Amino acid sequence: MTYLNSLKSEGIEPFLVDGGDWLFSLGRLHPNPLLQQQMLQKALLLIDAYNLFGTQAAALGEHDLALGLDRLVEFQKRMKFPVLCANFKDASGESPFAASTIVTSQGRKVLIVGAMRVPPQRFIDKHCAGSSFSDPYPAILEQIEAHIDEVDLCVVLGHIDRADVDRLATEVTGVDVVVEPNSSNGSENTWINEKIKTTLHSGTVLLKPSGQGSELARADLWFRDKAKPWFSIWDEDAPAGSNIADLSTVGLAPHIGRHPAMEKIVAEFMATTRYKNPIDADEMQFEPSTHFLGSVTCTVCHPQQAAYWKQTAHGRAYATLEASGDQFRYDCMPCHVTGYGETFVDAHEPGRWKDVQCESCHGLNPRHPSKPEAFPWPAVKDTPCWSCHNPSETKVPFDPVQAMPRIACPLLKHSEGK
Amino acid sequence: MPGCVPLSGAKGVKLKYPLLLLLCAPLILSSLTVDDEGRASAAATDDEKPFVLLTTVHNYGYIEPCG
Repeated sequence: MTYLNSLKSEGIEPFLVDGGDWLFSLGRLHPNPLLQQQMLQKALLLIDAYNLFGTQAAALGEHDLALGLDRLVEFQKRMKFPVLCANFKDASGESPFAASTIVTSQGRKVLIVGAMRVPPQRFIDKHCAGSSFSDPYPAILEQIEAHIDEVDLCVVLGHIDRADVDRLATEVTGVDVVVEPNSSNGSENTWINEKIKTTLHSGTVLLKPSGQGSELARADLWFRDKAKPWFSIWDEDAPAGSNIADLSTVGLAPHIGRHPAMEKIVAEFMATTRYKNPIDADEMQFEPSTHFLGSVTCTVCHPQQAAYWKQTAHGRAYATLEASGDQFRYDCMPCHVTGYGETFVDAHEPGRWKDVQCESCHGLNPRHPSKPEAFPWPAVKDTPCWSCHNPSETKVPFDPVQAMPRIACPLLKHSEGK
Repeated sequence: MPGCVPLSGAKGVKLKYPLLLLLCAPLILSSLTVDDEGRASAAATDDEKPFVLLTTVHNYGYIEPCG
């Protein structure tokens, strides 16, 4: 918002769009109703934020559809801009989403087309049963052919596979810009490290900023000749009078400053996360797992290791969260406790499961205390690390080779079971 | 030798840096203008305003990082 306002102070009213997956998370780490309810509140906040930004349109993404179709359609009423998807039909054969829209911005008429890659059938059954997706590529072409004569510029919000982005860039005349949120292989775990970022491909502008609020992709476009290729502003061989693009990435680090209007709605959201559960946790009829022992049990025989652990980042993980006031956020807390979803579900009642305890790394072995020799612990691997130290979510590089020695407990003496 | 500027010694130190600057100035200026010209030839005139397009992706559920 601060960056947008700085542009406005320069007399620029930017054209702002989103490539999809902006509303919601599939919550694949710790799916539970409390997280889902809190994410719904976030979704409303994000809609209000995008309204404030003056967003012109957003593509439909899998994460958005994970809200559930009915709820997304309901939420759309709150948006001052359309969610676009040209290749979607609901169970009745209609689409609640526009295929495209035409807006006027900065004196130019712009066609915006949105489409989404076809998700797996199990995803459709779970989140929008009875709906169907057609091949996005011909659906996009249909919109372009129908409207290209009415506009100056054409922007595709391509929540689609890389192969289709390539075809749009190389085979279709008239596509000026493709916003490309997905990775080449469609894996959401790799998109953030993709080398294909904001660039030019066969005369088409491809925009691909990193996600989670970290970056904007910016394209300054000197438009001269409709349906002609775009050249980089640094291309000395660009013919005179050709379309010229100056492409950049705008980092949205904290230094850029906060905006009072945004601070207000974020504070409202944070207040709801800190002081109450969005739904009654008791209604979940949760039965805790009996497979977790907890560090209290481990400490009985391994006090030296427990004392060491308490001084590590894992042993202080919950205190870190409390210090920032995020301990009731269901998107943060599970990585600062042990066994969330199995040991407890209510963020307000973590009990003895605070911090990243022994079993987070060592795994479960509930029979070990009764017969230590018969049920030894296997060697610790880096597999459990990645569930939380996931750079695509934390934006912090993680190398288990360097990190594991920092949290490794002192070796057991023979008398302690080695 | 009369008329010759010494490049070393106490008197020469005073003259050396202005002289170097004088010699290097054309090179510095030309290196600066190469970029500007490269840009200018493609971007045309300064008074021609570009269409500014911004985009975000994958903001899902993002508010701010956890503590």
